[in-house]
Amino acid sequence: MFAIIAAKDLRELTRDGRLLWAGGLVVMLMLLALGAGWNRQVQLNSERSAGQALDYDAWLHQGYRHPHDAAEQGMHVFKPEPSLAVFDPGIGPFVGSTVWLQAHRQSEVKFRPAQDATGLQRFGELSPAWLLQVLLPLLIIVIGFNSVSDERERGTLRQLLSLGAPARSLLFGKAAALASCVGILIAPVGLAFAVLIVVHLPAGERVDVVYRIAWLAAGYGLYLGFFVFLTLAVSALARSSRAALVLLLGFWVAATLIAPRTASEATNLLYPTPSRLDFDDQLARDVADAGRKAWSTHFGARTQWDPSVPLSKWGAALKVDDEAGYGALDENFGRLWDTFERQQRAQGWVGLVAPVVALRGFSMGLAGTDFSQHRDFSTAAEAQRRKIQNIVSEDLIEHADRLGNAHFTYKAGPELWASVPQFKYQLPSVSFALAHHWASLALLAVMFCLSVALAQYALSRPLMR
Amino acid sequence: MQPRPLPTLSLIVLHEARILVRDRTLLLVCCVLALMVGYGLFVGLAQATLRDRMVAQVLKHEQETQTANSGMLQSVLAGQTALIPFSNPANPAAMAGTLSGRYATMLNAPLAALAIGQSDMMPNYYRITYLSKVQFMYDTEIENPWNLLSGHFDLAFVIVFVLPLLVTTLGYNLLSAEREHGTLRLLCSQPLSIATLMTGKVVVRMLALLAIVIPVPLVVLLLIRPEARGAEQLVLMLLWSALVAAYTLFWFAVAALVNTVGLSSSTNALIMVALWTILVLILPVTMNLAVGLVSPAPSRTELANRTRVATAESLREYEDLYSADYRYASDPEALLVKNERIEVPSRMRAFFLAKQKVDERIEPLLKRFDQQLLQQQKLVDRLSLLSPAILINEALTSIAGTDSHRFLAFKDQTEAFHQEWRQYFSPRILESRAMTIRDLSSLPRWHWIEMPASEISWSIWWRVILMLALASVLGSLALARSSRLSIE
Amino acid sequence: MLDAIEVTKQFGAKRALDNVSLSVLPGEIYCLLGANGAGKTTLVNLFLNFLQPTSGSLQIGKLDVVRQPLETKRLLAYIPEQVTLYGVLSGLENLAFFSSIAIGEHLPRQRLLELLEAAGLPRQAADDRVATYSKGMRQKVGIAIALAKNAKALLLDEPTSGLDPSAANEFSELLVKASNDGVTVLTTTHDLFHAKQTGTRIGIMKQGRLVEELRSEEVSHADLEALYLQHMKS
Ligand SMILES: Nc1ncnc2c1ncn2[C@@H]1O[C@H](COP(=O)(O)OP(=O)(O)OP(=O)(O)O)[C@@H](O)[C@H]1O
Ligand SMILES: [Mg+2]
Repeated sequence: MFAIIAAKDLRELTRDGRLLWAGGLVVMLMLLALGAGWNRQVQLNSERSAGQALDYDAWLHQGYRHPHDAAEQGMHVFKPEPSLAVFDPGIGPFVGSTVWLQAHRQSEVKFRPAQDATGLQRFGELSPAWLLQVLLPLLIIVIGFNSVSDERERGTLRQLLSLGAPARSLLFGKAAALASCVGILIAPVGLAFAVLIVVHLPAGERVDVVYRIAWLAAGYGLYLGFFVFLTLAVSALARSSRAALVLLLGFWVAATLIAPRTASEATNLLYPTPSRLDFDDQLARDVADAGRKAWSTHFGARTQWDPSVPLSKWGAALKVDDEAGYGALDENFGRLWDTFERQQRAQGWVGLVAPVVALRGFSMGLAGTDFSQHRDFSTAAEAQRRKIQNIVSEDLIEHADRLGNAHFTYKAGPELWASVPQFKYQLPSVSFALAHHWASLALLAVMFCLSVALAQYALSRPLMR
Repeated sequence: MQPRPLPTLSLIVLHEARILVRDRTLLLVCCVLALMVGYGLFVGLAQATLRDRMVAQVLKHEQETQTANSGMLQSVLAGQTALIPFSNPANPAAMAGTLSGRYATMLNAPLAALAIGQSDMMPNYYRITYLSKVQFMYDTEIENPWNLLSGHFDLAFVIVFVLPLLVTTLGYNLLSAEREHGTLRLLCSQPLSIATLMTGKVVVRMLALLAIVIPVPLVVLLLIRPEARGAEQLVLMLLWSALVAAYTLFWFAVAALVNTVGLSSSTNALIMVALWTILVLILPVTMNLAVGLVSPAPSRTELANRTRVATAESLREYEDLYSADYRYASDPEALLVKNERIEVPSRMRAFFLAKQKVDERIEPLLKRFDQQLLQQQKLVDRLSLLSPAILINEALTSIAGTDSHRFLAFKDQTEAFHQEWRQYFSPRILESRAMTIRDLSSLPRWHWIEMPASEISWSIWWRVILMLALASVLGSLALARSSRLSIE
Repeated sequence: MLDAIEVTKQFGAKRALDNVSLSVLPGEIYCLLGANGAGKTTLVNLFLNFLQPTSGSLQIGKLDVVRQPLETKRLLAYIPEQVTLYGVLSGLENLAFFSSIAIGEHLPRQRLLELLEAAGLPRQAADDRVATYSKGMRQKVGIAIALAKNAKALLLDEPTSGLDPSAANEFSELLVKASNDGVTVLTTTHDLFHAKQTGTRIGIMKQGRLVEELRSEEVSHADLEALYLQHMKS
């Protein structure tokens, strides 16, 4: 019974112009997005890894130099693009990719692509994830809004039910038909893309990416399933096809377009982001306080330039100064980043009315393009900077010179440079992402179950009428 | 009472108004719109206030640093303070760098609350020191990237995205409802053309929407933002109103045209939503992609590489200065001002010169990048003609002064000022001239030169005209088709 | 007054009207008979310019229907089979709206009430919402609209279908009264009895053609019925 209904519905849907046009458009856009994303990623990654290698090479061959001046030249590190960023660029356009690790300043990740883009960027990024999150639910609504109501209006529903078709098979048959329409559109492209990505990866990273893809498929399956059942439920509950359409479109607009913006405004009020000026001021004050304390305990001096601290002690002094700052840096940046994460977590609750918010977080997380993974990179880069700084200070302590005021004539050589390891950043594994985003997945599952229950209730009602 | 002849159009308008009021759709739609406009305006005002406060804070900071510097300088010259090489205001290299309290700031445009645009991402102030451009020009305002991605719920969003949907709600069944309901037959047996009928229906709905979306924000702005009351601002407000009206008209024309095809209400709703999706959602993101492909953004990796090379070269070039004798810690007397001269520590001189050199070396590359970005923006300006949503968005942000153009201008002016700042100190550092009290008050001052208002209003006028032309083409097409519409 | 001249109407491959010529003189009541799908409604729609003829032309009072749609509509009133009005407005408000469009001026309330009364709508129903009306009541508002217009010609498409017998009778009386005042009437119907009773002339249509035209006083009821059935069979 179930299969017969599914087959009949599928035939009806495929004969309808709606699926052909809307589906064709979605597939075309999907291919376009994948092609452009892939192209960009290949280019970026090769550029960045080449840049990284060149940079380290230059570090090694910088010749003889005072270690502190070497730290002035510093090192550039580049954030590698996770391979699934093609699928979901996430916050990528709005965070930087490059850090210049220099002495004495917390490195910030710079060069946000959105800064180099025009105002158009704010309309959104054409990515496969965007298509699946925003356009596919619309497609489901457009092809499915009258799947029950139309049968009722034409009287075929009475006929079917009088023939003894159970409401349950009617529901799942229709759901299967709708879902397979969506499946026909995205499965081939998705599968081909997944294979392409996995094949291009080094063997070591393959398993991780396969897991990520599987989890992504589960998340998107729940999300699209939610829309399938919601559409059927509304189609059965509404008075007419027209009412069903208007209701569903209204929900779509509110949930995918308006809710994310409203949510981010609201959480901004709840957990305000500091302005740069405030943040910088606070940071400078904390660093200075920590520095002053450290100076007086270690050297009994009030300032760094106190005559009682000879230049020969510069290495030790630098070390004290830097280490005093670490705490303040960690605290301030930690607080800022915690605010960001808290804001995002608060928005998770909006997922209860607008599942796209939950899915978006989950999708970015699994694609490796969310904030927690960006934070992980920033932390790694900062750790590298401290490593350089510490090596430099240690060297200066070791060579506590007797040069007096000619302290800066001291030159370190290639052995010191080589003692700084190359920056190697390993993207966090899938378990890192899951640990951050399991709640979103659970939420999606709950929403899915709710929609199934609603649809079952809705379809059992025409029997009573 | 003497019966008085009435033009049919006004009859239809009155009648429609009554019907819409009675069946409550209009009330509902207007309430939704009023709520959203109010909220969007609130968000815009909050952001504008935030940025106003930031600039005020920066200026206060600047003032304080200046006072502190001159106080310090006085006591240094009087020999009352222990000397520290990096914070000695008599030392021009310190003044140019760590002690500099100079900021380049850009004030909000008076109508900033109307659209947030790029203002949540682009800085509206830069701290000016002798540091290289690469070090300070890429700082951004702090904002949660997730929120940047979501976008703001500002008035521009309400107008560009939501307003067409509300137009759709009111207009998808302009004629189809009358036909499905059966009243169209009776109406059309009267001496009444469908064109008049449709015009009347559109006029009522449009007036209702515009009566909320236009006056509310303008009145609120005029009331709480005194700077919005100038003549120039009034012209901009007029432009803004014309723009919003033209965009609304465009969508009503689309609805009318769709209705003259003679399909069912459901189909009309589907077509309208499809058109909205294509024009407002798909076209802009596709064009964003296209712009990136046709005119790619400059490679920041290349910039990083060039920066490294330039830094290494200048370190090498000034190696002697970097490793010169450093006796200031043990011999603070060396930092005293003598005959208006001061010994600038050679390492500090080296920093100054090296940064300057880095910028000189990188300049051609940055020029090329700026060129590329400008190219991109030009392309967008041209492409915006293809999508009413982009057209309107660009125009709304440019009225609010939060568009890319204005931020690019700010960046350009800041670069020029940075240059001026360095040039002021360069001879003093090279010739070891000490800073005097008089010097402190004659430091280069920042002046933001606002973009010419005539240029802005001209570019918006022709967008308005374009929008109106588009709307009237569609509208007359709809009117022409309506005479051939089968009533069946 | 109402003239169809060699009118043909084609819907794709289907010929709904085939070279129909018909002329209704001022003051006449012309009844069109014919099986379902014979083309009666199509002809009425052509007079209203709801449809355009594939060939031939239609005139109302010597004005071409296609070329002067607004002018011809000023001359005629139309009552569809199903009178549908604005449900959220009262019968009176509906009448006020349609009549003001029809004649370009507002009629005073008193006059509107008179019109409704003349059409047979109970006085107390005039201010109720039309959504609460029965089919017959709506029909009566439709008649009132036609009356308000003071039209020279009336086009009616099965006006009495769904009306109770007494209402149908009242309606027929109204028609006769109108025609006595010089109004031209073209009505379609399936009711042979009423056609004979009220019509001055009767036309029988079959598969898009006008196959018979006769004066009602020339035939008896029985003859008319026999003639009609004979046409339908052959
Ligand atoms: N819009 C249309 N498109 C296609 N065919 C049509 C259309 N309107 C009418 N027809 C066809 O034209 C023919 C005449 O239809 P019409 O409605 O004029 O018949 P009728 O005489 O009014 O019938 P009834 O007595 O049932 O009202 C029918 O065969 C019908 O199928
Ligand atoms: Mg008929």
